[in-house]
Amino acid sequence: MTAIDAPALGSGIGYRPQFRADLFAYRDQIDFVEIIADHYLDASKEKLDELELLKSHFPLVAHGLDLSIGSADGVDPRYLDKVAALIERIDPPWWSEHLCFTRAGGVSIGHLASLPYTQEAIDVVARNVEFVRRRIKTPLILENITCVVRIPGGEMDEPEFLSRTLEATDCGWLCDVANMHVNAMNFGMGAEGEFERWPWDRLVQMHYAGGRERNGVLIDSHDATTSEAVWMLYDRVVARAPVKAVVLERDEKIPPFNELIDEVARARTTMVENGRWR
Amino acid sequence: MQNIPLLNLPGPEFLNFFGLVVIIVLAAAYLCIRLADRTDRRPPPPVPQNPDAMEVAFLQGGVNQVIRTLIYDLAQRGFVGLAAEDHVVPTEKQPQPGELNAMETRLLEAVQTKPKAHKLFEDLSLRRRLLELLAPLRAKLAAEELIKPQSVKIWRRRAQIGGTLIIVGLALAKIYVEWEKGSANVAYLVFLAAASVAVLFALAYVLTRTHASRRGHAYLEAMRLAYGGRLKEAIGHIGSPGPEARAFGGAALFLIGLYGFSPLKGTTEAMFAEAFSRGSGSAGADCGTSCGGSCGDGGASGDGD
Ligand SMILES: [Fe+2]
Repeated sequence: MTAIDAPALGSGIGYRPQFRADLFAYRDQIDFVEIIADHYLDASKEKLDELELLKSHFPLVAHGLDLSIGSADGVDPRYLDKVAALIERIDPPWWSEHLCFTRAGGVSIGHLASLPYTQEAIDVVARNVEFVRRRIKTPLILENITCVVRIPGGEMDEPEFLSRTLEATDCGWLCDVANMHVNAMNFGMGAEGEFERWPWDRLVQMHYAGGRERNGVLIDSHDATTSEAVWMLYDRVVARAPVKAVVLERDEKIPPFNELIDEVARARTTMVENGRWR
Repeated sequence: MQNIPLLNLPGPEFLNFFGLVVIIVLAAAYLCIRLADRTDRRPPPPVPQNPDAMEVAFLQGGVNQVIRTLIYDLAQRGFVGLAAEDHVVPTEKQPQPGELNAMETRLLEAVQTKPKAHKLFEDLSLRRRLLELLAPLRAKLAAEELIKPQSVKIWRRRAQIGGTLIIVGLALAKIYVEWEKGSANVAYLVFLAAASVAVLFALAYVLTRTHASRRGHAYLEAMRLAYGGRLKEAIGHIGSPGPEARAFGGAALFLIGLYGFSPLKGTTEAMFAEAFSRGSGSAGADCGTSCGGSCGDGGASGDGD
């Protein structure tokens, strides 16, 4: 079974305006581009021109930040309208959001907050995804996030929570291997059998990135090259499941572009070796 | 003619009518010229990964921009320099056989007489030779519909002639009628007609002065959007020794081609912007001094088609 019916996109990069010129100069080495949806919601003419330029040179997918798919009081319909307009404009094969909440009581909390691993949270997400689907037909896929603290009262662990949520919503999975690694480091590795318990049959896209340690805790800061440990996990996932697209996320301390190209090429090699990409 | 009621309108009312006719003529001229270039029905080609400075320069500003770009290139490589009073002068450095291409060689030749910067734009034999050498590039750009199509030139001429006939014809008819009646107060009408024709020609010029077609403009605009960010970075490295300056050398030509010399203002190489803007009207994308009447002929350079 594949989670959604869409063509593979290959090895891409998360777009950041800082490297726009390099992206175009090296565009034959980037298979596709992931844009941050929120950067184009109330966009200036210049941002819209940039979007058109990207669209005419790369396959695009959109990655949202603030839908808050886990909010018990539902998603904000005005925000959803803006996302819908953007999705219509770029017509991607799928779009993604984080399995988390970013607003509570209608107020933005400014970061991606982990949901409690409960059936109640799953029901909320399923209800919200239904609402979103009525507005946006393009398939939505959900990304696993890092957990700062485990919310007490959990009824299950993360692999089960994610699997059951994707089951209940019928969404594909954006597997962020860096986030997976961060959680494994900060909360202890599961038993060896745990790897098989993630919802591999729902895998659509992957994120990988480098992070760093702060006060003994690993954080997904997207400000370093991808670590060997994350690459190992990446290789294992690509070998395990038919991923369609992988994206390098780099937000801070952006190095010379050829270093990013090297990472994108490294990721592509694994895809090719496993028959996931030409 | 005295039987035509419109021509018998009292002066102020006739002037209102005349003004209306002029506005319609200008609007029609705008539409004709604008619709003659429908190359933007197709989206522009993808931006090149390694932009060709000469292609960009030619598209952006015709032969003038090519001359600017070549001069900057030769100066960067130490073959020419700028002297007092905007004179472009050759240096001691002699090119090795094969070191310069044909266009660079020709320009270096033109510089031997130490001309003032803007005089280079007026050097007809230089322009002719450069155009010959640019012919393959020009053909390639034309095949991609990036250069203004011939139809623009044809429609511009039609709009100019047709518009002038209507404006002048109407004015003359009124003058004739007034003269028959024995009144001679037509000075204002004469002035208005002359001014209207001037505006018509100015409009036609503005609409057709650039070399690039609408598709070509979209292409240049996409390149600016894609690579413009490099400009800031590159400008920051001007005059600094070391690898950044050399890296700029590569990007510089492309950026000069795209923007002209204007971005160099305020850098150690500002003299280029100054030397070429004095007497040339603009250091950027617009015409140089040689525009004159021929400038509209399919490009900023007045180089014919
Ligand atoms: Fe991510």
